[in-house]
Amino acid sequence: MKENVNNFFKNIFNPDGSSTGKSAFPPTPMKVLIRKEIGSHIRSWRFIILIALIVLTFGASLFVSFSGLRETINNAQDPDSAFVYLKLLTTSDNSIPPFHIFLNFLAPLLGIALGFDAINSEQNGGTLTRLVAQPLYRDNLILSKFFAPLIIVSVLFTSLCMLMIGAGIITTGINIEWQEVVRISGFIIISIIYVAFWLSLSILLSIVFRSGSHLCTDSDRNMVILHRILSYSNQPYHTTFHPKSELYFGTGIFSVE
Amino acid sequence: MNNPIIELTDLTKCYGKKTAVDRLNLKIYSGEIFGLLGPNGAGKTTSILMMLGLTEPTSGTATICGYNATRNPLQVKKLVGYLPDNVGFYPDMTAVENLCFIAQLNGLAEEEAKKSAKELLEVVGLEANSDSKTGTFSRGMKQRLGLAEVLIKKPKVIILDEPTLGIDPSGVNEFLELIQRLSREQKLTVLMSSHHLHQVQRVCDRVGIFVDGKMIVEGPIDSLAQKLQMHEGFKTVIQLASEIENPTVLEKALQDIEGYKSLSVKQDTLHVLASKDITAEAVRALVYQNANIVSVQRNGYSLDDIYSKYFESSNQREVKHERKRK
Repeated sequence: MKENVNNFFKNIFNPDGSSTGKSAFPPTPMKVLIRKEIGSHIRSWRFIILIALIVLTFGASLFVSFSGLRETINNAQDPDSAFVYLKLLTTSDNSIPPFHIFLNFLAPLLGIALGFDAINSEQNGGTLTRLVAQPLYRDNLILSKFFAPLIIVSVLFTSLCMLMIGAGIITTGINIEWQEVVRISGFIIISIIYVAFWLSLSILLSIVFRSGSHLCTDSDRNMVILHRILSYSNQPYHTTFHPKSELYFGTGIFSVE
Repeated sequence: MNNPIIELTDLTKCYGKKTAVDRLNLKIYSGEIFGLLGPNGAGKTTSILMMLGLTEPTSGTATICGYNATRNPLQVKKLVGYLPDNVGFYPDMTAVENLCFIAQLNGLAEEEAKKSAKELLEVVGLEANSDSKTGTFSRGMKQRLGLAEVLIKKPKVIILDEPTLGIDPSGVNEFLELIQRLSREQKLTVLMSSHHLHQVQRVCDRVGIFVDGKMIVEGPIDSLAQKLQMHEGFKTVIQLASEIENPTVLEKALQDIEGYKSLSVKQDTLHVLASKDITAEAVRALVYQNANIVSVQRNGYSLDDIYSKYFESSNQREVKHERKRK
């Protein structure tokens, strides 16, 4: 099922099928662009740092939720206590936030970091003129900047959750419920859409602004403001970055009574 | 030769009130090397961008290989290779990878792309660096790689924007010779923009001098010199062994010659301007005055003269404009 989800996403973004296989037909510009983007992202230091950050948070929150798993499952008052794998992702002993909340503030970071210099780095490096002089549509260029990081992020999230389920199956031996599969897939899809939002915003800004440093500060501010607006809409979801928490008063951008 | 491969008709581009390119008309024929010359900010790059369909002209049309560049940019880009002035490559990819990427964007399959990338790196003399990352490349190497990239799509026309900028003199010679050789071998049409007349004149069949968005003159370099001569008269440059002590005496001696117009003296050189060729008479007259002539240059219009003549006239216009504004 997870693999199906994964393939489903891959096929949406890459309609010609596999992205690495050799083909007798000449590749379409879109496919070539996406392949190159994925390649350069994976080899970049920035991506290595980001992936390390996410794997570390994932590892830490998984460790915490594993250690408290026995009490959580045996809690008779909780109607959801039968869903072991959901509990793995969401419980915590309050020392660190659980994974799904971590992901909530890592997703904008991921989206912005992967997209903030998408177009203007090409422009500053002198590669943009060279690229647009090739027979391809300009929107292909921008879409490839959007879909390539998104494919990476979808693969990353999906594999992390599959790792979590695998670790759970090995340690507890409990079968995964159908409902859990649906709910975890739903969570992955929504997280990917959340990253896609930040990614598209940062790509838009990278087109508007020429210099990367300009943009960084701008999109940081935007990120805080927008994050804040979003956090109003789903307040219970954001326990750590709750609008009335001290963290937000510190920024001084919005003051809430 | 009758079918121009690049045809610009009344091409105009305005940025707000400023007219960057003003009714440019140009025909370039297949197999030609055309030099688009002009000072910085003359509108050369804008014209090139319009030819590629990368900017929309305010009015007029650019037709490349029979396609309208504004309506059909994709078709044009398939046939035209463009080397921008500050060419850059992905620094973390090797030369071959950079070339393959562009080749694949042009529809070549992976294996084919690799093969032709290796071949072209040999052509431009970068085979030793084919597997090193382009971040380590020097400016000249990047230009060569840029040329390889332009050629990998097997274009009919190549457009080079300031190809000699930032390369050392020997590198410039090599680079231009390479372009000339490739153009002859593969029957490519080349359009080159530059502000270095000296460098470009050796390889160009025809040049156009482009100032303030207007094409001032166009034609082979020799005919440009002739045109200038018709306009300004003949010029003879005579160099003497020592510094001239009494120019008035010499001037008197020259004044008797028919057609003599004026004399200007710079240390040990005399510039004689006349309505016809008076070199022989002038030398004779000077020898009678015991002048020690070491060299005589007939038809003394050099490229510098052509250049400064056309570019200065534009500068003067600018100055006038500024005065009017004040």
